[in-house]
Amino acid sequence: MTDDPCPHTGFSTAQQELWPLLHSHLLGTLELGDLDSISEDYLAQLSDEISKSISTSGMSKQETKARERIYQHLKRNIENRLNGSRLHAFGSTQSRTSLGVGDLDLCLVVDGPSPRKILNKIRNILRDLEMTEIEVIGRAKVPIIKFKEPETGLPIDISVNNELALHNTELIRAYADTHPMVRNAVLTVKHWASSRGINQAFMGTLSSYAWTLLALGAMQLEPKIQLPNLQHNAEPSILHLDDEYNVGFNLKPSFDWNPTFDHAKSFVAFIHRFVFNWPFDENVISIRNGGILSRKKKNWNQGEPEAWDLLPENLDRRLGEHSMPIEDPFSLNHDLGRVLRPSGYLTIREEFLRIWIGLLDRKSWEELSEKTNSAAIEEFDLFEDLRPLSANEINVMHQEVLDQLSRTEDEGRTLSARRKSISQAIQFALGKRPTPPEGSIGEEDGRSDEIHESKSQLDALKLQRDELVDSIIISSPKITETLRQTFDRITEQLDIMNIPSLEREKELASLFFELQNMYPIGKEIDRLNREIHLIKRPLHGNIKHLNRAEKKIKRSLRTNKKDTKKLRREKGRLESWMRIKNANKTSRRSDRKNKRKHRGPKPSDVKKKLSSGESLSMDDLSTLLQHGGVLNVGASDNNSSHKKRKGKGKNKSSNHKVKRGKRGQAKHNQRRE
Amino acid sequence: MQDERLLEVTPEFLIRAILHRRQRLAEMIPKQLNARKEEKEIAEALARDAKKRRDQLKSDLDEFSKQLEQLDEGSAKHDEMLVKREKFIQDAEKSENEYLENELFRRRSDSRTKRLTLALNDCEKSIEYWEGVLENGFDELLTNANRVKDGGLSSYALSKGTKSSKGGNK
Repeated sequence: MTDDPCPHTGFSTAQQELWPLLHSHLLGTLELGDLDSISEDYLAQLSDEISKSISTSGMSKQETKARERIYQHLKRNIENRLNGSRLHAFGSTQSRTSLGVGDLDLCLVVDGPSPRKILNKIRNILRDLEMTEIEVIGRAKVPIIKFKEPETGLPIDISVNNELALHNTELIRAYADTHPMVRNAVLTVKHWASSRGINQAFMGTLSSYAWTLLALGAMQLEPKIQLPNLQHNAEPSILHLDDEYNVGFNLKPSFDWNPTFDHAKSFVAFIHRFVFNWPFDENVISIRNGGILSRKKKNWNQGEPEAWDLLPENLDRRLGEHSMPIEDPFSLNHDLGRVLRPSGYLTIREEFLRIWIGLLDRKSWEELSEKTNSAAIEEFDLFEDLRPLSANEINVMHQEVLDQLSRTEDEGRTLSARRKSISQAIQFALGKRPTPPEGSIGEEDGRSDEIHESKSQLDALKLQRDELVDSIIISSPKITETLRQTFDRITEQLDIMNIPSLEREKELASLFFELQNMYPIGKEIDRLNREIHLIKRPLHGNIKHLNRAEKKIKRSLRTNKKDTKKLRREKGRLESWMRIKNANKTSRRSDRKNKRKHRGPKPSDVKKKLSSGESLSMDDLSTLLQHGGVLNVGASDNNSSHKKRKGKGKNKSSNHKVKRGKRGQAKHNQRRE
Repeated sequence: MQDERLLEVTPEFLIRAILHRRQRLAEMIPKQLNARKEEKEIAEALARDAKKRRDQLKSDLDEFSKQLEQLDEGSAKHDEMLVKREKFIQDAEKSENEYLENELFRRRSDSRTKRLTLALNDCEKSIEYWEGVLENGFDELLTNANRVKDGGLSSYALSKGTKSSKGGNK
């Protein structure tokens, strides 16, 4: 084998191995057969397999409920705290074209500040709601905030004023609602693309939404289906954002699905179109235009370089624009194919050839949609590290975790008490609390004593001052001013025609003598005020210091809370493992009698989650444990009574192999529409 | 006077200052009073004459008007008397104004005289009072001052208390 690239195709040896069918096809050595080569009986069997596959994919009721609960929780909190805002859900879950995996896409519609400022506000709200792994991506074309719901580990994205996405979702849902078979056809394409790892926009292939548009476009173009164009002759509805967008479409067109077209036939038609009649040479996929629109009309010419030009060494370079153009139905300048990278483009071409060859070879749906390395979910054993350990070692670990947990909880309690005391000390210093803090505030005790002393002095001085103020009412400058005015009135030159009465003279004289005696009291009040001011200054310094100390403790408390949570999880994991181990020693019969009827999620649902790589809740984990681990989940669900009889008396500890998808893997499975 | 010096002003000093001012007034008022009395007599005479003139003209005009009513309208005599009557009216108005002016002057002089008479009486009483205070002591004038000195409420505080208690009753 030589390292020189193929002189005809430019594929390197490694690339020939990576994309063998595409290489052969370019060389003209690949036998593609035709549609007639696929027999009816095979298609019928494949249709059944696809039907089953689709019916088991999608979200369980429990999962749907959990998502709805999380959405409503966020909606309530965010809308309450951001006046005039509205939080909407969008994406495949809302359009009912979801495979039951992926994140929850939300969009906040709000007037006012820039999206980045709003995202920062949302971040604060999410922190208060104790969401985890919060990350603001403010510089993206559509700024978003990513985070996870702590209980379920569900990844959630919130975008701001991404209103087009809401309309896109409604349009896709309207298409899915035209006929159940339309929804199934979309799900079939998405399932295949997902399994083969070509629905990962961030990896340089197409987004799940783009595959949905391709599936719909193909159904519009297929003469035996003729899916109607919902935007054709629709009442215009203009959405004003950065530009004007017509988001109008018809909701309920008359459409009858061709009954001879089953799941397999619609899927084969889709694949056939892309294998034999690659539409992107001359056209753009546009469901707005009934499936297709010429490049010339759209003015989207193939940009340079094409993927072939970059072989074999330059595949890391940018692919020419509009290499696989897919028009967004509302944002008409948005080409959903712009995310493609050269290797992604070649992989998609290879996958179309691979499935066509597979169809010709009468392969099962399971084989056709076999997970690729990039799409396969790496499973890992939750108890992997515990399996080789002896019971004694587990007990030691458990005890260590308990000790550590106890210490952390104690520390948390101490920190909470200190925080409370500091808060009380601040309230006391601000005069909002009549008594000093009840407990010690640790290192800040000195400050607390100072505050207490200053506060006592301050209160005494204030009392003294207020008594004096109450007794004379007017201030020292006012006393001086009135004294001067009174003296002037008594002694001033008089107008002979306007002489004051004797009574008035008596009043003025009396007031003058009274003011003379009020004067020193006014000066005493001034002195007391100066003294109060002198005491207040260091008191405020101490309050500032305590505020800082309180913030510091709050931070420590947050860390402590996280640590405690982590240790509790670990404790739970160890105890679960210990229960599994101990289960073998106790009588299974009595166990069965006493066991509460399990009301958690269905084992099949949990299995689905496992295979999709989603994170598991405690209920899911409990279901797993009750059904003997991941390997037994499906089986125990279907034949539980049979299994129980068979397993009587046998030690099955080795079968307790709980597996789940890695959390990090969830990102690789993100499907956004 | 500077603020600090005001604190040094004794009751005796202040009362002597008041007394001094009153005594000076008591010296000035009689001269003024005599001048006002003379002025008042003149004003009364002028007003009396003006009133007499006005009343006469008014009576003449009434008589003339009665004669005019008896003549035929449009006759030469009637027209001639009409012209004369206009002049009568103008004279009557002039005399009325003169009377009003003189009467005002009389009232003002009378008022000034009365005021000065009262002021003179008040000054005499005031001098008598303040001289009595100097002789008998200032206790009456120092009631409020002594209350404040003893830690009691000032008249401002008492007034505020009364106001607030009235407000409270409302």
